[in-house]
Order: sequence, then structure tokens, then C-alpha cells
Amino acid sequence: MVLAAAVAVGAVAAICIGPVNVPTSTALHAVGRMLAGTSDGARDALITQIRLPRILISILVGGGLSVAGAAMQAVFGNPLAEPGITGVSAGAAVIAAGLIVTGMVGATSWLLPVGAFVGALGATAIVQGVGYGRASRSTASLLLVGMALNSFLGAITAALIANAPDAENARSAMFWLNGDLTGRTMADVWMVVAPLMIGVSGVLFFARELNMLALGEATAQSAGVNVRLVSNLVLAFAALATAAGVAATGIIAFVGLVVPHLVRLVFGADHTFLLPASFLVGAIFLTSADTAARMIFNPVVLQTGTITSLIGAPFLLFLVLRKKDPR
Amino acid sequence: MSAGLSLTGLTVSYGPRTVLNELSVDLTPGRVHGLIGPNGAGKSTLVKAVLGLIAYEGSVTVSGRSLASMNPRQRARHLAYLAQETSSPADFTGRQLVEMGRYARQSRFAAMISADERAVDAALRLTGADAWAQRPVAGTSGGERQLTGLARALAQEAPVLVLDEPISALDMSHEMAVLCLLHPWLDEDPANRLVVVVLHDLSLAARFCDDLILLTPGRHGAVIAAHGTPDDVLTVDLLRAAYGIDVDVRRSPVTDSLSVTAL
Repeated sequence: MVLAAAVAVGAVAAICIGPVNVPTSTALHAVGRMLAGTSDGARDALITQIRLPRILISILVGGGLSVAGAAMQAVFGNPLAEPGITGVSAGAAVIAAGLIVTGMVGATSWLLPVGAFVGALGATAIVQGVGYGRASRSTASLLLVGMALNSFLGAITAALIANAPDAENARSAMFWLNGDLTGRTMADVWMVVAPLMIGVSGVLFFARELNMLALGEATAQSAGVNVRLVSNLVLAFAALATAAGVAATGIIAFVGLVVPHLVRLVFGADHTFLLPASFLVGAIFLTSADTAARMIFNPVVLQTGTITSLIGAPFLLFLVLRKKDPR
Repeated sequence: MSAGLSLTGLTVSYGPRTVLNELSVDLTPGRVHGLIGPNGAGKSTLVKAVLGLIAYEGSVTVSGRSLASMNPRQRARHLAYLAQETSSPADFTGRQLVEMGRYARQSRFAAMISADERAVDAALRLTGADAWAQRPVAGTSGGERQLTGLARALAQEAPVLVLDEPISALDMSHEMAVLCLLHPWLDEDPANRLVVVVLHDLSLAARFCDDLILLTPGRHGAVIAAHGTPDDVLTVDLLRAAYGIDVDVRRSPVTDSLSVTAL
């Protein structure tokens, strides 16, 4: 409850803060007029057409990526698993960028998340294939697979963009390489919300099974969990949530890593609580990061993905180093 | 069909390599069955096959019902398992871990009912894990963790309990704590329950098991070299053939069971 309230407060604050600061009452009135269908176009445009969609997207995507990260950490039994690091986001991005650059779909078509989902699922299958095939689910091998996937898919995405027939398409596809929330519209929000919430709900449905996976595969299976089926379904739902996010914002790394760890530190590892809390904290985290991206070097605007990487990469380093400490 | 756990023609292959070669054995209720044999003899593979974690030919039945035809939930009501070490997410309490043993008997959205509470309480009491049940599992010792893990397996209320080297990470007081629980648990329902335990220490196997199964690696996969009471299986000749070293076998005046010393 406290977290949900924090999301609301954070969202309102984020609406008001920016290169142009807007009084809270003005902002709320503008949103109210939009909901009532009586928007005052010119006066409210900054709030309702620029900031509100951007903030709604950051809430959805931050929450979705965090839940996807928590889910992947549980399934792979690996504290460093996360859509960006494992290459799942890159899988979604390569298909999405391909669809846009070749002009096959517009930037807000429903085909975009579907294509991204196919890409994310493909990357997930590769990561998982290595995990099962080698019987080595070590931290290192998962990160190596992710590194290989990220380089390979990133190269394809870059090539697609560089050779785009239409310069306008190319510019709009640039953000696939480093996530950005600039210029998101309400159409983007509507495109994202259904697949993302389905993905998140799907993961939440298996919270109890994710707890039991921590017992180890053999013990969980012997206690009655269909480990293979649950793992595949949870990864598919996580891929869906990731893909919906990537389709709207490009690759935003490290959110799915940082947020579940922070939540675990404060609230514990029980997934029935960890997953919803991760969604809310992820929403706050990305909204804050995005507001910071708009603000920090004002008037220089940093990409949102840059901010999350600036925070997330040192955090990853911290996790890797801490693992070596004997308990 | 016999009661208890039966393997019939159990064969496991990894690619072209046969690991277990047509194992057939009937394990009767009311007894602790020790699975012994040298490293690489396929003891863990046998356990994995029985748990349904790997594909196999032949059949594994509990009370005449094939485990292969069951889904994991149904299987969990027939067979519980304790691994070498018990791991847990950082901050689950002992009691929460043991409650996970009730998973196969609960519907998705139902809370713990009184039958669940009773089974959890009984398992905690029998293992002594109730002493630290309110504390996070990660903060307890390896021995306490393993007893908590055993309580989780017992809370499943399955007639067959499979333990894979349950004491290999424990000190001798916790070795005793785990092994001394097996017969009291069996004796609560000797007509149905049985224990299969993989052990490396042959003297402990002789002391705590009613029957022993000696697995040995063969050219075409592991076979059962001997099956019977400790007196039948723990002979100098059989052990030399299985382990490739000479041993001294004598009856301990203290425990009145066989004691095996490698020479």
C-alpha cells in the first residue's frame, strides 16, 4: 500500500518536474480535463501529450522489467539474470527494429509487441538451451551467453539501422540500442499495457512455484512442482513483459537487476510479496531515472537507458564482488 | 503387484552409453533400504530416475502404480526426497520451508488447512526442527538445515522416502540425528512406509539399514551385485570386487552391527 502510494506521489511529482516546472494543481487539473475529455489543447499539451504518456510508460515498463528480472533470477537460480543482461531484451529489439526500419509496421502498431515477443522468446530459448543443455547453470555461463547474444543481436540491430532506406525510420529506430522514453504518446501506452500486464500477471500466478524452485530442481520436482513446465511458462511470461517494454522504449538495462535485489534486501525473498513489490519499486525507479534523465544536465537531455546503466552497472559489479565473500 | 517400491528392468542411457543396465528389485515396506556402491556406480542416476527427473526404460512402481504415468503432483504424494544439502531462499523460516512440503496436497488458492498444519507440526516435532522453526533457515547450521529439509520431506506424507547421501555434509552428531529418525518414522506405519537411503559409510549403512543394495559399474552399465541383509552384502569378497580394495569386516561389540574398515 505504501509502495502504491509512493508510485502515485512519484508520478505526480514527475509530471510537474522538468525543464519547465509546472505547479501541481495545474498538472492535476490538466490530467482531470483529459480524463473528462475536455482537454484544453494548447494549454495542457505539455502535461497530457508529453509528460503523462512518458510517465505512464515508465511506470509500466519499469514495473514489467523488474518483475521479468525477478522471475528470471528465480528460474535460472542466478542473482544476475535480467532481461537486458541475458540478451532477451536484445532479442526483442532486433525484431522490433527490423519491423520499423523495413517499414513493415508503424511505430505504434500492435504488430510491434508481437514481433518483439517472438524475438524475446527466441533469445530466451537460446539462453535456456544453454542452461539445460550443458547442465551448467553457473553464473558465468549465463553471463557469457548473454554477452554473446547482446553483441550479436546488437550488431544486427545496428546494421539494420545503418542501412535503413528511410532516414526518418532510422532515426526513430536508434533508441532500440539504448532505451529512451522521449516522445512517447498515449498510443504507445495503449500498445504496451495489455501484453505487459498479461506477462506480469502470468509471472505472479506462479509466485509460489518460484519460491519452491529455490529448493533446487530435484527437490522442487519431488515436492510436486512441474519444474520444466513452470520454468518455460514463467520465462515466456517474462519475455512477454520484456517485449512489451522493449517495443515502447528500446533496451533499458539493469532495471530488472537492481530493483528485485533492492526489494529483497528490504522485504525478503518471498515471491508472493517480492513480485508485486518489484513491480511498484520498478515503476518508481524508472520514473525517477527518467525524470533525472530529463533534468540532470538540463538542457542536455540524457537517454533514460543511459541513466539506468550508470546506476545499474556499478550495482552489477557490487553483486559480482560480494558473491566472493564467504558467508 | 507387491506393495512397496519396485524396479523392473530399469535401464538408463546417456546417448550411446548405458548407465544403468536392467535393474530389477523389489523393496518391501517397513524397512530401511541402503543403496551402496563405489563412485560412478550410478546411485545418483538411479535416484534421479526414480524421481522422474531423467528418462528411463523399464518401470518404477509404488504399491503397483507406475510413477511414470503420474504428474509431479501425484508423484509427490507417493514419494518424497531429501537431497544431499538443503538450500533455501535467504529469509524463509524453518516452518515456511517445511510448509512447502504440503504443496502437492494443496489447491492453488487455498490457505493451509488443519491437515496441513498437523502434518507440518508432526514433521517438525519428529525431527526436532521445531526448536529453530521460527528462525530464518539460512541462519541455522548445516545440520539443522538438513533436519529442516527432512521435516519438509516428511510433511509430504508420502509412503516412500528417498534420501540421497543425506549425511555427507554433516558432523557425526547430526549424522546420528538424521539416521536415528528413519526407523521411528517407519514404525508409525510399517505396512506402507519404506526408506531408500544412499550412503557411502558402510558401517553406518550396516547399522541403520535393514537391507542393502550393492550397485557396481559394469561394462554395459551398472548392475546390482548383491541385495540382502548387511550380513549378506558386506562380505570381503563382494566389497573387494565392487570397490577394488581389501577390507576388514567385523562385528562391533558396541553397536552389534558390522563395521567395515578399508585396508
